[in-house]
Amino acid sequence: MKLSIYSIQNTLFEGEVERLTLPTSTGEITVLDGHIPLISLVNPGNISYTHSGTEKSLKLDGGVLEVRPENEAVILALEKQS
Amino acid sequence: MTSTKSIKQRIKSVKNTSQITKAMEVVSATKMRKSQGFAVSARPYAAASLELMKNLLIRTPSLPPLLQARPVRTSALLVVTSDKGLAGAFNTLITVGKKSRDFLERRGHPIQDSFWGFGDYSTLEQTLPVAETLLDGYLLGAFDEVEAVYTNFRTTLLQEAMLKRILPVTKEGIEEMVKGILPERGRYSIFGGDTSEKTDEYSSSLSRRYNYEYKFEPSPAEILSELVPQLLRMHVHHLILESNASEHSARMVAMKSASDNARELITDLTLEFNKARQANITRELTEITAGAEVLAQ
Repeated sequence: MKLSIYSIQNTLFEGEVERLTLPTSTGEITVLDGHIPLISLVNPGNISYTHSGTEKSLKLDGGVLEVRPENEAVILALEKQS
Repeated sequence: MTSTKSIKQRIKSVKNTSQITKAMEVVSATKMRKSQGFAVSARPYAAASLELMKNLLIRTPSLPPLLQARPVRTSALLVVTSDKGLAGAFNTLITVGKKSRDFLERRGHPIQDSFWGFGDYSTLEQTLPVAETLLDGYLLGAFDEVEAVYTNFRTTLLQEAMLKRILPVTKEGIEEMVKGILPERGRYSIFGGDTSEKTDEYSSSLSRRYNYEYKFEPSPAEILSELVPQLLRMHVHHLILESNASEHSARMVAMKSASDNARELITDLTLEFNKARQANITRELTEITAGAEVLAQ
């Protein structure tokens, strides 16, 4: 599935991933290919995804996850005021 | 007639000035491109969040307070200017910079908050306090709408002062902003190929998406109320970036014409200097020959 992680200032990740795990408001979920369309709030924490076999992780301060019907996931990452 | 010495001095000082203006021109050009780049990097987020917001709006009847329009009793005005001068007509076009604060203070308008020192490329951390102030004030009811005056960067040579309502947040307002992120011409513009076909395809894929049954966690309204403040933060950030880019390009143009003027002045002065020098030589020659003739008699 295609994953894009955007923050207001830049694009954090864009590419094909096999698996995406992230903490949401209803607990940690894992998104695989063919997931039903979903819009959910992302809780602050680490999200991890496998990109061409390797596991990667990214720390986010929260945001919104949208799993689109076209096998595409978009995360709008929140940026905290430092 | 001015002496050759004083003309020489003037040429020198004009040359020095032109060196400075030329350097500023180059610096501003670089900064302008960089600020544009910053503005463009916000585009994916802006586009994605706009789609998401539209998607949510279709599915929820309840609107978060930031989206609701209410009768306007007091409105807040956000004025974005440059911190520094020397940008030609930039600050006369418009009035979050020191220049606007000074101007409005002189005119005796009450200012609630002012922010400055965002530097040449503002980061989100710097612009967030502005957005937070607006959000808090709006939610507490200190004002019922927020309008922003800023400079819209259309092309390098064309910037426009714009007045836009940024609160309450509207779908149209955000849409306009997303479209406005890219300048009309230049390195970052998208207008070049046939875009109409793409947008058709794009909008049909969007409408297909709206028909899908999405699952919402926790609920569309709650997600919306989380998303909308983000949109406003992005909007304010973008306004400031846009003004930044405009400031740099206005300064670049102003400095370019200053350099041109200096060059012209130098040509004129050099001509005058040469004339004065020749006049001097001629006069000296006449004196010498006259003296020699007197002696020969």
